[in-house]
Amino acid sequence: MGPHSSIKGAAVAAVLALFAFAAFPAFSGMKMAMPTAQGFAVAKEVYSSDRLFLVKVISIPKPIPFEKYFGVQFAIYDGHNPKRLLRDAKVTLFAGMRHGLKHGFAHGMESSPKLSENGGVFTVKGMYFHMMGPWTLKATVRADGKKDVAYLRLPCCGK
Amino acid sequence: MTLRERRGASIAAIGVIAALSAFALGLDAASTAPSDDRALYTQSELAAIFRLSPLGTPPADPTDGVANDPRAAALGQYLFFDPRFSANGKISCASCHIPARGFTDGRRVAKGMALGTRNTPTIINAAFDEWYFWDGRADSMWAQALQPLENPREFGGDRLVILHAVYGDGPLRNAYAALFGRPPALGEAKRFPAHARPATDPNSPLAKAWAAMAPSDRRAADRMFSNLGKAIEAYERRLVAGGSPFDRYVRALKAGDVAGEEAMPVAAKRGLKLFVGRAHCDLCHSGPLLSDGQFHNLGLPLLLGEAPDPGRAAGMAEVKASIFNGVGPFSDDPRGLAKQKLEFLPTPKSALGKFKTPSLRNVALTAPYMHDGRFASLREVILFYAEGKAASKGRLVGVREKTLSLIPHLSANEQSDLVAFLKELDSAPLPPALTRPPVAP
Ligand code: HEC
Ligand code: HEC
Repeated sequence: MGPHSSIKGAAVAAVLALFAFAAFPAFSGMKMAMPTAQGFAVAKEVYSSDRLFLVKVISIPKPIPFEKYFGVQFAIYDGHNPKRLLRDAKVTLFAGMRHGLKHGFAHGMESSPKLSENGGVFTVKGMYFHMMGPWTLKATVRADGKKDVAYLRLPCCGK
Repeated sequence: MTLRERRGASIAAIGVIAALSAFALGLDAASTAPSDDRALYTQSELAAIFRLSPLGTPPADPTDGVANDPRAAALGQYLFFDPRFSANGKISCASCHIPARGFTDGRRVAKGMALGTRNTPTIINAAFDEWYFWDGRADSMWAQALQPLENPREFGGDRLVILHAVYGDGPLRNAYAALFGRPPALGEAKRFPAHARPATDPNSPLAKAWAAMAPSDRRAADRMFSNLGKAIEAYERRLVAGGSPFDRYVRALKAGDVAGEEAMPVAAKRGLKLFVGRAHCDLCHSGPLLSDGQFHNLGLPLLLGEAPDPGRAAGMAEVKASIFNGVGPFSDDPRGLAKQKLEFLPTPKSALGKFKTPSLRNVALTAPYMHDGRFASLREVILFYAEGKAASKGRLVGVREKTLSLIPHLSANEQSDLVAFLKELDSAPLPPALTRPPVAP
């Protein structure tokens, strides 16, 4: 496994993403109620907006630590055939908080993580959450000549 | 017992009776509203309040091998108050970080050998930070301390003149040697000129003198220079102070100690509720420092005649390039967190116009405010937030962070309440021995 730049199929979105493509459940008010146990769990898998791809989370710290670097591992599967691992997928990532915005993010992370890929398993290092509340990991996936976007909700930070 | 205490005590007694009778009636005591201040806050506000206090102890700094050595702290304190290292022999760290003013100077922007461009932050509790300066251009306190010594607007010195000053002073040299071993042979004038430092202009006399030195002598000079920074850090790490009225209040709140809850006036309690609630201040002013230690663009418009300041976008480039950073040859632990911090720095574009969230502890003592000292009072700062986007009219550097849109309109009373809360964050005084020049290094 090497740095992302030397690996086909992996790249890190380094620019501030201004627009997300899909509608997303509106921010539900982190201040209004204590998050439930369920609200604080990370989904194990999530389909991309047009269900072309299935993103399966392989590992993520539980809970996500506050103001500490952490890593995530995931793999991309065919949305219509969730057993088929897509070994040639290209992925770009952006993590940020929406704070109620319907489109885009109120802000991103104060780090830029490194993404690498090995045998279809993507490893992200250097994620860093500096604010409490729900974060969104936006994964733009290209595979089989198609492109789709998946949103993974990452709650910060269990306490 | 004073009147105030007595009233508190009787309220506590009523609380106990209420709890007992609830128990006797077989009710769930937790479901009845508590008679103390916990009733003022929602569960999530309470949880947020409890994250802000107590202060705790600063994290270790493994990049500084003498960070916790009391001898280093004593030497560092001596250096901190010593004006001999400045070009005019008058300026010390304490000229701008004045102990009696919460280790700030009360000026809009700092003044050393010349006028600077940024406001002087406090050093109290700086040991908790991961990045230093408003733009994060230093990644440790020891690397930070080296910069004012060579900044032409601050000390106006250069590393060689400073090393000679230490070397030429018997007690200072001994204190140095006891900690770090024998200093380089600074007495050999041919090897170690009176003045030298690296500089951006290679034709400057200082840069030429530096370039003329043997690489091993330059390395030895840098080593000694970095060690002085490490001693200063050891001193600064002791400038840790919690114990504010707010901390006493939170302790009482946790304990359900009704009398203790009088540690803050009612207006400050309303301000606190806003701070962790509707006004969302604790999104950025989070944790026991009331700062996330990270960087944000508040959309402060350029003032008349003010040069655009790229903030962290420039600071990141500087810290990456610095030979004194946490992964460099003078770091005592170039792996670990120091490595991660530099490895995962965000992109310059995303960092344009961002400045470090200041700690709000002692904020009432550290006017004026913001990186350029533009606001004279806390009232002005809060008004800025209260006005929302309208306050960001004019030329901006980079993009105003949209997080700020979560801050609702704040009425005049609410603004006063927030100010009242911010005035309850003054630390208990530091031990006087830490706030004055020591007799010997
Ligand atoms: C001429 C006034 C002046 C002098 C002298 C001075 N400082 Fe500062 N200090 C400042 C200013 C202004 C800043 C912020 C500068 C910036 O962010 O660009 C600062 C920043 C700092 C910080 C970072 C605080 C934070 O929250 O990031 C520390 C620590 C510090 N100084 C320590 C020192 C030490 C140690 C010395 C002596 C070696 C010193 N200063 C000398 C004005 C001064
Ligand atoms: C998006 C993050 C963010 C939010 C939300 C936020 N602040 Fe700040 N605050 C900052 C940053 C960053 C600075 C310094 C900005 C600069 O100088 O450019 C700052 C500066 C301040 C200062 C000046 C401190 C000093 O020493 O100069 C005060 C006081 C303050 N904020 C209080 C508040 C209050 C009260 C709220 C809620 C109404 C709030 N802040 C909301 C990030 C934030």
